[in-house]
Formats: sequence, C-alpha cells, structure tokens
Amino acid sequence: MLRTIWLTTQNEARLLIKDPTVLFMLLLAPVVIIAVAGYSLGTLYNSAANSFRLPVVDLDHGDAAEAMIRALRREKGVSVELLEDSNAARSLVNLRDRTPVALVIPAGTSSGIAAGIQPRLIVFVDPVRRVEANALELRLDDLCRRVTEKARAAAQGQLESFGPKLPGDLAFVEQTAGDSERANVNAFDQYVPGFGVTFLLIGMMLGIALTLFDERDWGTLKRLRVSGAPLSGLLLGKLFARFIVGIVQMAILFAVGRALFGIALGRNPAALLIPTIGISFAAAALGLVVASIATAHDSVMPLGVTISMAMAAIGGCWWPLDFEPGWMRVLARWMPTTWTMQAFNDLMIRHQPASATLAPLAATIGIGAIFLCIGLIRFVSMEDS
Amino acid sequence: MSAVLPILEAIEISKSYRSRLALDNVSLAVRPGEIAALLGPNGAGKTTTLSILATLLRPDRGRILINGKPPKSDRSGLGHMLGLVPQSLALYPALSAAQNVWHFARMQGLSRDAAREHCARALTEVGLSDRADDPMHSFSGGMKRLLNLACGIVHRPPVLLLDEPTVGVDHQSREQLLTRIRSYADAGAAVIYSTHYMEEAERICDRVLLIDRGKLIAEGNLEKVISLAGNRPRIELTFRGDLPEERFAGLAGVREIGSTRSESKAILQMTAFNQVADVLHNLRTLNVNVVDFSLHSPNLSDAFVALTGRTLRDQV
Repeated sequence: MLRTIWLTTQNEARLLIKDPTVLFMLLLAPVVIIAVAGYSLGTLYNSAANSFRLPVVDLDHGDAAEAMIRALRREKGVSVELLEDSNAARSLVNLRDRTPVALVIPAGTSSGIAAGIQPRLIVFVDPVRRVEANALELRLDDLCRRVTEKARAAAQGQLESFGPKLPGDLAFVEQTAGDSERANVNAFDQYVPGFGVTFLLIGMMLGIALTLFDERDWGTLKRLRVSGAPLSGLLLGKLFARFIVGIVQMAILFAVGRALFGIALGRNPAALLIPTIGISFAAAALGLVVASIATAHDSVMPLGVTISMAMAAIGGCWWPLDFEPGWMRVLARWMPTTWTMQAFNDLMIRHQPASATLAPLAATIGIGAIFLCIGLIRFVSMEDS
Repeated sequence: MSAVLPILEAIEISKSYRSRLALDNVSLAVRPGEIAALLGPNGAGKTTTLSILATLLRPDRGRILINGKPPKSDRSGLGHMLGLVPQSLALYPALSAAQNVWHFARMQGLSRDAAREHCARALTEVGLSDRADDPMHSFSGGMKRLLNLACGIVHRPPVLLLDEPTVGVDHQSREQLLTRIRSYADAGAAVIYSTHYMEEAERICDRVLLIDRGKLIAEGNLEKVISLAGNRPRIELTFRGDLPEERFAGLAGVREIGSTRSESKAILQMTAFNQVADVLHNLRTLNVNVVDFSLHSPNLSDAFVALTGRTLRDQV
C-alpha cells in the first residue's frame, strides 16, 4: 500500500511538472485576483483607505451648521464642497465618482436644536454605493451627536449661569480587541489567505477529480488495477501529491503576499502551516468526493467550481463571516474553509499564538476525514461495479 | 501442448449487463507458450471475457484460475502474473515513452534496478529505444500501439492479455506488433489475443476460440476450427447489373452466403472447386455480366459463417 502511494505520488509530480496550466492556476491566477480584490475592497477593513468628496448645502447658516461644516473639514479622507443648491448636490451624487452622499443642512436647524426640537439633516444617497455611503453616514451620525451636545450645552449655559458645569464633547478612541497594535487592517491580510484558500479548493477539485477522469479516459487506471495495486493506494497517492502541492501553493502565496502587499504573518509565521495543512487535507479529500459524484469528465468543472466557490464564500474567504445571515453562519460551521479562515485571522490579524489554531485544525481535519471516507467508499465501489 | 497445465482458466463464466447477457457459460484455458485467439465480431463478448480474466470484472457465475488457484480478492500478487494491453491506449500522453514504461514497471513491483533494465529491454523489443525520451503524444498511432505493448510486457508476465491491439494501426506497425507478440509467446508466455481480424488469428495463433453473442461456439487448432466449415471453397463474384431471384436455382450444393448490391459483389459457397464453371455458366445464361471472380480455400471466416450464418465483420 505504502509503495503504491509513494509511486503514485511520484507520477503525479511528473504529470504536474508537464502541465503549465496547472502552475498558472496554482500561482499566477491567485496573485492576480488577490491584488485586484485587495486594492478594490480595501475600504472594508481600512476606513481611511479611500477619500470621499462631500457636497454640503448650508441653508441654515447658524451656529450648529457652521460647527458641523468645520468638523467635517477636519475629518480624515473627506473633502467638503459647499454648494448653494440642493438639486445640484443631488445630481452630483448620481453623476460623479467618489461622491456617494451629499448633505443638506435645512434652514432653522441651529435654532431648532436650541429650542429642544429635533431638526433633521437631509442626506442624498447613491443606492449603488451603499457600502461607501454607510461609512460616511456613520461619521455624519457621530458629528450630529457631538454638535447637538455642544449646542444644548451652550443653550443651557445661557439659561443657568450659575448651574452645574455641563459635560464637554463626547468622543471615542478606537482600540483593537485582540493583541494587534493596529486598529486598521491591511485588506490583504484577509484576501491573501481568503483567495489563497479559494484557489487551493479549485485546484484540488479540478486537479484530483479531472486527473481521475483522465486516468479512466487514458485507460491507465485499468492497467494499474491489473498490476495488483490497491485502488485505495492509488487514490491516496494522488491525494497525497495534491496535498503537498496545496501546502507549497499556500506557502508561496504567503511569501508573495508579504513581498508585494506587506501582509502580517503573525507572531510566528511558521504557525501558518497549521491551518494550511488542515485545509489542504480537507480540500484534497473533497476533490475525491467530487470525482466520485461527477458523472463525466465534463461535469467535473461546473460541479467542482460551484462547490469551491460556495464553500469559499460561505466560509468567509471573500468577506467577514459577520456579513452573512444567521442561517448561513450556522451552515458555515460545517465548512473547512470557515475554521481555516478563523485560524488565519487569529494568527495574522489578531496576533494570537499558534495554540489558537489547534481547535480550528481539529475541526478542519474532522470534516476532511468525513470527506475522505465518503470519497473512498464511493469511488472504490463505483470502480468495482 | 495439452500435456502442459493451463496457466489461466475460465470455468463456466457468465456475465450480464442489466438484462443483456454478455457472456454465457464460457470456459477456456491457455497454456504457456501458446497464443489463443479470441475471435468474434464486435460486441461478441471478447472485451468482457478479457476483463474477467484480468480480474477487472467479477463474473456473475463461474470462476477463473491462475496457476490453478483463484486470484485473491485484493488482487495482490497479480501484477507479476498478468499483463494487459487494452483495446484503447493505456498511456500517459504528457509523459515520455521511458517514463510511461518506467511507471508501469515500478507499479508491477519491479525494483529500481530491475525496472531500469526491463524498461530498456521492452523499448528495444518494440523498436522505440531511440524515441525513449520523446513525449507519447508526439508519437504516430502505430508507435503508440507499440508503446502500449511495451507497457504490458515490461515486467515479463507469464500471461499476456491483448485486446484488439492492432486496431487503427498501419501495416508496418501491425507487422512489428504481430512479430513481437509471437516471439513473446515463443519465449514461454501464455497469450490470449482478442481480435476480429481472422487473418491475424490465422497467422500467429496456435489455437482459436470462436465467440459469438457471448457464447463460445468453437474451439481448437486452426485446422480443426476451419474444418467446421465443411472444407467448402468459396467464390467471390463481382458483376454488373442486378442478380435475378432464380440466380443459382438448380445448382446443387451452391449457397449464397453474402452479397452487397451497392458494391455488386456476391459470395458463394460450393461443395467443390469444379462447380465454378457451372456457376459462371448459369450467370451467363441469366445475362448477368460477371466482371471478376476469385476462388478461396476455406478459412476461419467461413467457419464462423458456417456456425452462425453471419460474417465476422457483422455488427451485433
């Protein structure tokens, strides 16, 4: 059995070296996608990464409006443009880039605050750029609170000259919950492991399932079986070769990520090997499952890519798990990708020690073992029949 | 020959694919140094028989014996005994000829040193030693077939199973293949040679197993099986125009066993060669313009026709 596994692994290595498309899929394609995703979606993790242009129409001209405009001008990454006309502001939102919202301060806002009523600012929003708009709205909301407190304090001061001292501005200072010193995350800390795992899954699915169908089509599987080699040994040999390739692929992607995008490798970069081993094992086993349920060579590609993409997306490879609805987060607990991404995030972003990855590793290996059993039983019984 | 014990036996094996009976109670045996032709039309059950002999398929009934013993269920130890050359190529297109042969040699259980020696010999035997480092996909069809054979014999198995190894092969490569197979058997191997080319069976095989619709319909040496046709000669006619219905009426012992209107050909079986003149005279009387004819001694094809009423080229 061990001899069969070893000889099959060697042969897989020979076949891989001869196939340049495999090298493209394993290395070049992930780096390109990681670069595109990291640069374009960086604002999800770093609020100051992009600058916005904010058209403001001041119809109030009171103290509160002036205070708010001053505060907005001090905001990092926000460029305030004062306009006279609300309609002009509205059209800018729909037409111009980096302008997801526009603010109108209606007449009577300052006096309304002083009188204790609740005036409302008007914010024009481009629904297509909802994510960017949300980021700006959060900052506007904070400003409104601070300006309101100040105005109220001023009004109260005029009425009660001898009363107790009113509190000053409310503000907050952001700190990370983990051990990392950085509050803002380099988006590539998420996307290098995320898309690395995605391409690892795709590579495994297609690599294992397609080569098994190739072996059938080429007739080599039949000849190898006549040689007396155990089928399970042949399958495990293929899986082992791809398992090693998966680890090498992730190691290279982390090295490239560090060199090109400056990703954090955590306290102990070698600890990244732990989740990498887990996901390579689970993905290889899943590739065998795909080979055992695909009905033909042509069905491997759609089936494998669908499973890989869904598993990567649900498992938090492309966005934080918290973006997903509750039922999807429950489903995610059965995905090896979820546990792997948790381990990578712990190591790279939260700067946890290597021991933090052991529980996710156990979960990933457990799920992979289930895949392996299903794949082996199905494939062997299919061949025997 | 029969004094030597069979190295491979199939005893009353049957196999069905759902409701279709592919093999029906087939028994056969092959001995060292012997080439047994498994001869039959496409779909006769040849590949199923070989798959069962190679232990790739389990028969529904019956059993096979290798060296007098049933093979182990896990197939261990079979690699040394069996070599299979499947009908379709069983090679890695991206690997070189040497890498292909090397991989199968190692998987058959040969050590590194033995594999090195056996690979060189197998490639030399099939005439590919000068192309050893070229990728298989760059080979011609005939060279691929030769490499396919090299991978099947690299470990010198005592039993070699060949499934239509010359399909799609040019004349020169076919000659090379047949010569290699004959010399391999002469060196002591038992060979089962599945084919629907009766010329190949007549040329290199010691014994013939005629199979049709899953049944073994005749078995024996070449002369014995041919004699089943009644040793009746054949005449093949090429004519112009149509053959009238009453074309051979009154010619005792003459039987029409095939005709193709599109090619204007007819094949007749006779009791003796001296009936040729009567046949030609009869056709002239009926105003059939015979442009060519040829006479043939009885062969395996005639035996097959005599036993089944159909030709070997017929599709099932």
